[in-house]
Amino acid sequence: MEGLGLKLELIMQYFQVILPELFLVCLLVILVLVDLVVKEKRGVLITLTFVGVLVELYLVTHQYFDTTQPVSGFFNLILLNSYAAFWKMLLSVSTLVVILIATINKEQKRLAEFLTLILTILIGANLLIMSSNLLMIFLSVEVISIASYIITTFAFNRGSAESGLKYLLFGAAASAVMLYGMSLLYAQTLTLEYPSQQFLDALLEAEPLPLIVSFVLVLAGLFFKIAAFPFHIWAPDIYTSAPTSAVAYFSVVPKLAGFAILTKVVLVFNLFGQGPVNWFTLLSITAMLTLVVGNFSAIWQSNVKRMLAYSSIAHTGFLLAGFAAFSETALQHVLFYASVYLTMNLGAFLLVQYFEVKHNFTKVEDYKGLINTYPFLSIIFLIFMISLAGLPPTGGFTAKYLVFSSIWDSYSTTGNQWLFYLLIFGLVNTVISLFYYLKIPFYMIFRTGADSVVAHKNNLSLENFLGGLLVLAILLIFFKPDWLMGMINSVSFAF
Amino acid sequence: MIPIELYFNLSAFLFAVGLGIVITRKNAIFVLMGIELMLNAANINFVAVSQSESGLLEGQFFALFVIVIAAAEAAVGLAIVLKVYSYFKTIDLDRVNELKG
Repeated sequence: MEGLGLKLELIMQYFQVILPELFLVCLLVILVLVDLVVKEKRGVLITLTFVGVLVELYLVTHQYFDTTQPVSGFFNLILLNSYAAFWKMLLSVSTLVVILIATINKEQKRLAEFLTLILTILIGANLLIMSSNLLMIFLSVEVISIASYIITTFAFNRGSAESGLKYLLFGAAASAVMLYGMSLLYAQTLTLEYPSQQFLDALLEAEPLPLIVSFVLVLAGLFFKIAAFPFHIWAPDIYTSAPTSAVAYFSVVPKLAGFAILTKVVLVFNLFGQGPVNWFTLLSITAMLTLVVGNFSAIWQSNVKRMLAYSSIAHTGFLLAGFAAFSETALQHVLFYASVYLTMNLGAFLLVQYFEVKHNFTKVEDYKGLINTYPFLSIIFLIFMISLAGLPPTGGFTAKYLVFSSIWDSYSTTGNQWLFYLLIFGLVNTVISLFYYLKIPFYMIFRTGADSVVAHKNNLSLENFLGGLLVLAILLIFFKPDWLMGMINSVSFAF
Repeated sequence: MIPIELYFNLSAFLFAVGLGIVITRKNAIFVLMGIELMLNAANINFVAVSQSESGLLEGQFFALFVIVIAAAEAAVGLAIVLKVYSYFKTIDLDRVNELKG
């Protein structure tokens, strides 16, 4: 009996590590109950979720400043370090923004379920970032995926049901492939705890062929989650027909969480450069192909959401490129890039959602002459697009500049040819991306038409306020990058 | 005692069959069944490795979790398939393809 008491006490201690996630679970239950009991519930639900996530952000920020040493919990199933806590902060901030974006659509059916699923994805993403065990990775990926399949169908129309089915089939197959890779890794190492010494030792002695096969299978599942080439094909369809607020969420939260765990896993798989394959070369090649596919396909799109889907694939390419440079500075620059990416991408989706809900705009041509009716929103749309393309004076420029400089540094120290090609590819792609990013502002400003569009005259509205805030953040990051950088510098990468 | 290689062969075979079904079949329910086979292929690996060494339980736990996840996925999957059927009156994946791309 004493042993049991000790164990219970230990588990109680571990609750400290997952306090924000526990809080989210409680919030989720409360949301479901409120949905059952309260009649006029729209305002109550939104306020409750928003305040709840705000509290979660506070808890995570607390964790970020408190964890100077990595803390492991639940018998090494999860590991909390400041790297994970920083990613969690980014995710909480984007959840807050997405909740506000979702409120623009007053017609959203089943709002309570929608918010519950958003929170479920956030819980899964948080756990995924912290996981240090293959079982944890699989479980959290599935928590994210299953909630995402359901939320894709939440536009309740033909297209959304079809994209939900596609997402389900692709996603389930990808995670089955990843699971098989994990089972092969387990067979070779006899342990599931992948950062452990036993795992590394076993892999160093393993046969090259099974090792490569199992790594490739596991990476395939993770590449699917972040929509990297060649597992990006699901993204455009799902982004086109899922509810816009859900798309905004997909383009940031599961992607960044998947990316965070990818960095951890690849650092282990690389086996200090003694493995049979240099995985960072593979990552450089994937990054190049992802960039090319994303950018070249985006040029031809006339549907705004589809274009943003390809744009988000291209940004995955940039994140991977930054990671392929493989140094501590490179990882810091990736964190910087991720912070900027979430700000500008959510900003773009905010406006897309607004115009879709208010005026039913889906095509690029629909936006023509909009500067006359919506001068303020048009200008902030222009700034978001400039930032996504990576031009000054926006945060997008600073982020791309940092990523490219870390690739160059890495190339000049290691002399890896692939990094040089990656640099060239990245620069060329930045130029190509201008074509499609500036298309919408071009239509807005230089084309006339659409006199039928009547502006909703209300300057103190949510979209003006939130859009202005995000633009301010982007400009601030350009003019004072050291504020964000100073915060990232204190992230320790010890696993 | 069955040698462990046989289990690995069996699971590789199952995985290949599952993947083949997922790629070639046009019926959404069949694809879901193929995915189920792939998951169970991984389960066989986990359990076989786990029983080959004494005191190694992680694999068996993993298999249990996978079974639960597979059930959850099938529930969501069938719900979505029903939804698609009510819109399209078919679950043939070639005909449920109106979004270009």
